[in-house]
Amino acid sequence: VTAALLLLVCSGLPAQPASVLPTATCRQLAPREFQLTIAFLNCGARPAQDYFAFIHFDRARSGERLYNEPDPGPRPLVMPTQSSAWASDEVTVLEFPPVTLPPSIAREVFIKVGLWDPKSGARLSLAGEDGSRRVLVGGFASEGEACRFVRYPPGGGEGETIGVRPRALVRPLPTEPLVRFGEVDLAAWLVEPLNSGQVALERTREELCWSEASLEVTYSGVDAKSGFVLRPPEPLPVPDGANVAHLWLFGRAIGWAERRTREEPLLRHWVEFVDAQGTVRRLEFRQAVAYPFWYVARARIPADWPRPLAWTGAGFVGCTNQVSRTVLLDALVLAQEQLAPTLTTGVRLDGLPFPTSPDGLLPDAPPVEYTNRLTRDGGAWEFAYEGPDETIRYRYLPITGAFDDIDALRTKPDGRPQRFRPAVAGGPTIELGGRTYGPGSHGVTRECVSTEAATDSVTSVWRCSLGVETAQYRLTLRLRGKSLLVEVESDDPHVTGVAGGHFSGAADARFVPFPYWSWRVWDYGRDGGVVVAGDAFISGYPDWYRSRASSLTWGTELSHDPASLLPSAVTYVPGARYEPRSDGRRNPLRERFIFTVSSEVAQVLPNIPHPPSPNRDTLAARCHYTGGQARMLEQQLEDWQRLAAYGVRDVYIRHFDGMWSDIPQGTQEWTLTEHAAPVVGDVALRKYVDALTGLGMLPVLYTNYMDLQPVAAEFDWDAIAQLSDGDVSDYCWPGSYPLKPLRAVELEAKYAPRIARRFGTRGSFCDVHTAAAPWHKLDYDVRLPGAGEFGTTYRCYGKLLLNERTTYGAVYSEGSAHWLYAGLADGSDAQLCAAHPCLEPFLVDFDLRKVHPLEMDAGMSWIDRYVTSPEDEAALGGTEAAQDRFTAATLAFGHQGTFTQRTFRGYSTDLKTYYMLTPLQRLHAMRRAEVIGYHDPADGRLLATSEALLSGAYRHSQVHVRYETGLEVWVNGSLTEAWLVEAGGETYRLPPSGFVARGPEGLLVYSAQTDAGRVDFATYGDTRFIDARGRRQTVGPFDTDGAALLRRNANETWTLWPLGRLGVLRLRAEALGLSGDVVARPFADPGEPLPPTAAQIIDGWLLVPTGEGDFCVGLGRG
Amino acid sequence: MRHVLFLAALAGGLVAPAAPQAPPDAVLFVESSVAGTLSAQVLLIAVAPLEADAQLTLTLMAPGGHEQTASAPVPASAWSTDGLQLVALGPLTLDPGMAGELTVSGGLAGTRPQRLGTLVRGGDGRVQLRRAMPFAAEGPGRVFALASAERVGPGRFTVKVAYLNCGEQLDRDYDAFLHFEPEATGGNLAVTTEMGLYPSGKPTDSSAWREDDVTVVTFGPYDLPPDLAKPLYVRVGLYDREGDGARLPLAGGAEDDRVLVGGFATQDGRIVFERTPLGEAAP
Repeated sequence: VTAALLLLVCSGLPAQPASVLPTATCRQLAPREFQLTIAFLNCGARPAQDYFAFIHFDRARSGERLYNEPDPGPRPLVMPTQSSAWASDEVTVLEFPPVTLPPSIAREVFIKVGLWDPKSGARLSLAGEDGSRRVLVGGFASEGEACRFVRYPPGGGEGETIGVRPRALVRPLPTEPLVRFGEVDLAAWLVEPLNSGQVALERTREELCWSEASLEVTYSGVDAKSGFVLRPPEPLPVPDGANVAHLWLFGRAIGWAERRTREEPLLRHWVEFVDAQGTVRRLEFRQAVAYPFWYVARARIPADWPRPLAWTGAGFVGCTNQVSRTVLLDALVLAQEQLAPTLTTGVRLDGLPFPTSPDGLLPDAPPVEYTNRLTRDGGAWEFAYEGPDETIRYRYLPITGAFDDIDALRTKPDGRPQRFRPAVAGGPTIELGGRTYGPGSHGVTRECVSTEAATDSVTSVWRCSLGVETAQYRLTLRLRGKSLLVEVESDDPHVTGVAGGHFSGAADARFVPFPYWSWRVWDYGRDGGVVVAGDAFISGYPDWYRSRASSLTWGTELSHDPASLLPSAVTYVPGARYEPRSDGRRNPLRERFIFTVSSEVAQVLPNIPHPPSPNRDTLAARCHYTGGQARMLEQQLEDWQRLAAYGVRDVYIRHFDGMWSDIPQGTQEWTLTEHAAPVVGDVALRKYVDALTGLGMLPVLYTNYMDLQPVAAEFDWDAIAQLSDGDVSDYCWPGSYPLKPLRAVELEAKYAPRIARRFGTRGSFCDVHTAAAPWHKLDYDVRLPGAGEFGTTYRCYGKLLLNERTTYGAVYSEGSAHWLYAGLADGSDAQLCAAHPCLEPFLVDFDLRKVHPLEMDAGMSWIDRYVTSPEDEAALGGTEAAQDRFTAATLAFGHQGTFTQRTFRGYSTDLKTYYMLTPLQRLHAMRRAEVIGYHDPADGRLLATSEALLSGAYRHSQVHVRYETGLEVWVNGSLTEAWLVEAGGETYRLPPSGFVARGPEGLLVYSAQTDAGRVDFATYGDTRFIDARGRRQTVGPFDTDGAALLRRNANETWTLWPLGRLGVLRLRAEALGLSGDVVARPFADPGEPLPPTAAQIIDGWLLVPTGEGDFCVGLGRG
Repeated sequence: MRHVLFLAALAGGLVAPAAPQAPPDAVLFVESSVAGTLSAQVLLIAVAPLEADAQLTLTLMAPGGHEQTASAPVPASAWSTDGLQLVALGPLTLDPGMAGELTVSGGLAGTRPQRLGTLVRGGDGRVQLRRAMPFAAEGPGRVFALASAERVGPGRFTVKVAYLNCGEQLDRDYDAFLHFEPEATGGNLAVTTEMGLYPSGKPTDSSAWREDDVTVVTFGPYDLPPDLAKPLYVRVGLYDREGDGARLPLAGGAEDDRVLVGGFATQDGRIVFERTPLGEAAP
């Protein structure tokens, strides 16, 4: 009967790409006891293997939310099948054990069926499946104490696509919506087009949110003013007391797209009201519609709008697309926001293991005997550094109350003086009379109340006045080595920050940014560096460990001071800004600025007082890869197995957010979850992780405790950071709200052990945390301690990263602001902040001397984040030149190799990355760089960094580094010039992005030019590698025009992997220790041997009998 | 006329301005924190730095003809490379006879004084400036714009745009914007977009602007093409990003409510910025 029913129904179904269709029949054995029989009709080819059939009893129509009652209650049922034998048109009927519904289950139970591979955990695609590869075949509906079975039509109900509801949306909405858009009478609603906007409305279940259907709005337009307004038939009264609007919508636009086009606009939107006086009021949502998943837009309804209000419509504008696009609307909620009056946290931020020194960022003390002294000279005070290298005097004459009162006088050993002012227009900013006054700006009166000297410091108290309003602050200066510490303190709420000022007094002064020293404030974050003036180096920065500011700023974005229009001298010191907290009060101002002058640039670089990563042994040799999607699990595993067959094992594989949701960043929550994307499920993901671990790789999953999606189980308005005005902060990333940093610590402690336990991961990719500077991630909410201080965020994220490491074993993060967190994570993607990162000079000192000893950073981040545009790639010379640049920069900065998944001449360049960089990483990861030199093409000398900065030679980017392990590397980062390098008695011609590295035990790796062309070669231990790039080269044991990997096995045999397209491949027999009869044992694929053949040796060259497409060849004596 | 000269200069590669130099335009700023006193600053805007030291004189005139003057040096060395100098005067204590609305004029010694504005005493004795428009402008706009560029690296510049209020009260927060264009008369933004010079926008607090306010918005930095064969023109304005996108009419603006504030061109192998003279910003 079942089979007949199935055939009957099936004949009317639309064609489905999946060929197996399940349907259910049910015998009711008792009022709450049922026996289900599932018939599988195979309409196509035989399934590839024997799957297990399963039945799930779900709490929701969409989404995966199982009942797991004790037997015989409704828990998943599983039965084996012989599906690999199912012929086309064959029907297989499986009778499952009885199931009993306990009385506690009063709501509908949804019955879902699927086929599951017990080996991989993957589910077979079925006809009529939902997004989780299961078919809803029926349900149990409660009728009083009894229940009955309800069969659903096969094929997903009349062919309709029913989406997977975000798994956490099984809870009820706290407030019943004013409108459920999927339930409105479309005929009665009005659509008002704006500027030629084209609109169509349709009800859909393609994506499910709170309701069983949503409204799909199809739109197009002509320009940015095109749009539409949806209006109900009548204005709908707004509930009394409603003070916030929540609109649930599904955007279908990606706000993080690399390049925007007019065909994928990010719509701006609003809701409209009419108030008690008949005035139309528009409430704008601050964030554009920029997310391909469900999101709740939120806006506060102003309290001063005359009540009662009536809702009159929802508007969207910015429809520049001419090809139709859609947006889905689920619900509009107008409610009284119920935030908790108080919040508590158990997070303790004292006793952290960082910073390791109370001196904070203070540079290294000069490595010579020196004295610091303080003397008075009339009304001025003089702080003097006197050493054999130079004399530096900072003179403080308290006149203006700004940093303008500080002069620096440097006397070189030859007696020549150099005078300048390190921070003109720097100092406290004051808010009086409703306006902000910068240091030294006219209009306020400044008066020095007192100046007192102690043994090594001078403190002056200043009062500013405007009419009857006054503000007071205290400046304390002291000298440490060559560094002048300027402490600014005030408990006065009128003191709003400290401007960093600018350098003045040297016509030749110039700012030199140092890669990876990024405040992330100005000029794409290319804003950390030193001033070079004459032959002196000057640095200045606030010590973030002491600051209680809310943000660091360059202060030049928007100013009401006419002087700010004038081009200034060199700006190099970030200022500090104190924004009011949510209660309107500012934190007391506490800042320490460190100004350092020296003839040695190494003496002005900030220190990072953090404990180093303890995971060097685990991570030093690993290459890195970022990517992965749950939908491609099987393909990914195959790809890694293939690489493993080449001996690639030491890989840190960081899977991105697409493992938690069915598509990357949608439609499920992709942060703060412990469940794999429904499309695969937890079991399949665990098996995948285990499989990679079994290969020797280190697979980790994505975590992120900064961005929280409204569809997440943890979503709670009280968990979201607040702005300075007390409103909820509504942006951190499209479709996400910013999690309070203190909550982030709590939730990380909750989720990290669960994820580690569930998936067996031994590391995590804790995204974003080292990409955002803490001054960009503030919570001003005074219900929690540390409100309005970036230091709270900083300590929270540092603690969180340390706990990720404690829980999993190893943690990486996104990078770009990672120097702030160096050592607290094991490393970060070495993302370089600049408009054109790949064109920046290889000025490696800050990274190698300060960051590198603490952690192991990866690549130059991903290659697309280093070579960021087609124009830059073209400037480098094309795709392979960009890859070469990426590799060269990775080596110059002492980073870990990172896979790019690019292919040149028929083989994956990741193999080259692995076999050329991992032996070097073992010798340089977290190891001290003893010598750093820059080649000056003018005279061929290698210059120390200070000299290279003074002459500008560093811009040639020709770098030599010698590590304490004996490894030496020479990297030519010049874009145009070659570099002849003498190393180990050989001369290497390094083309742009060429390099040579030599180390102990004969290690030699290079990418250099020969008369024939460019060749990449590596020899170390039992490994030899070559890529002759299509030009015949005779190097090491190879004579070839292609690429090959050769490795010696334990039994003195060799394995040769020919890579990509080859014309010639011969091996020097003597170098392999082979002579006489040599037998070649080819493999067509890993584990698929072909018949052995004899290999000839002619004139000392072993002719390798490789066939077309051979994977590898074993070589040994006959 | 000066505008024509400016365009010709850009088209020809920014030649030096013809001698003798025209007197600089002047814009007045006033702070009055204590009753009966004021501090003044005068922004001098020249086509290029003046070569000789000069003296700035400020004259306050009461309705009865009573006058009070102040002066300050204008050192030749203090000009910015693109011809700006800010001169501070004061604090001045107003003479007892300086009652009622005070007319302020000023200029460099030896040149014709320019009317800079009117000072009005408030009830608390402090004075408020009604700034005069420094040039004759048609239309309703009472905000004008001028720009300066700062070199922050080889071929890399920030552009600072000052929006100066001469009596406008705005009801919303406009966003400042900046466009690069290939033609002095406007032209296709796509050309500059392909150079990576995208239109830029920055929020302002314009609803809180006082009637004599100045707001300086810094755009960039921008990497200009090293082989800048033709000049690149810079137009700025204010628009209502949160609302209907409408632009605020600016004094001296063109029909599209944008102001040509200057342009970049190559001179002696270096990229330089030349500011458009005030009031001649519309093509």
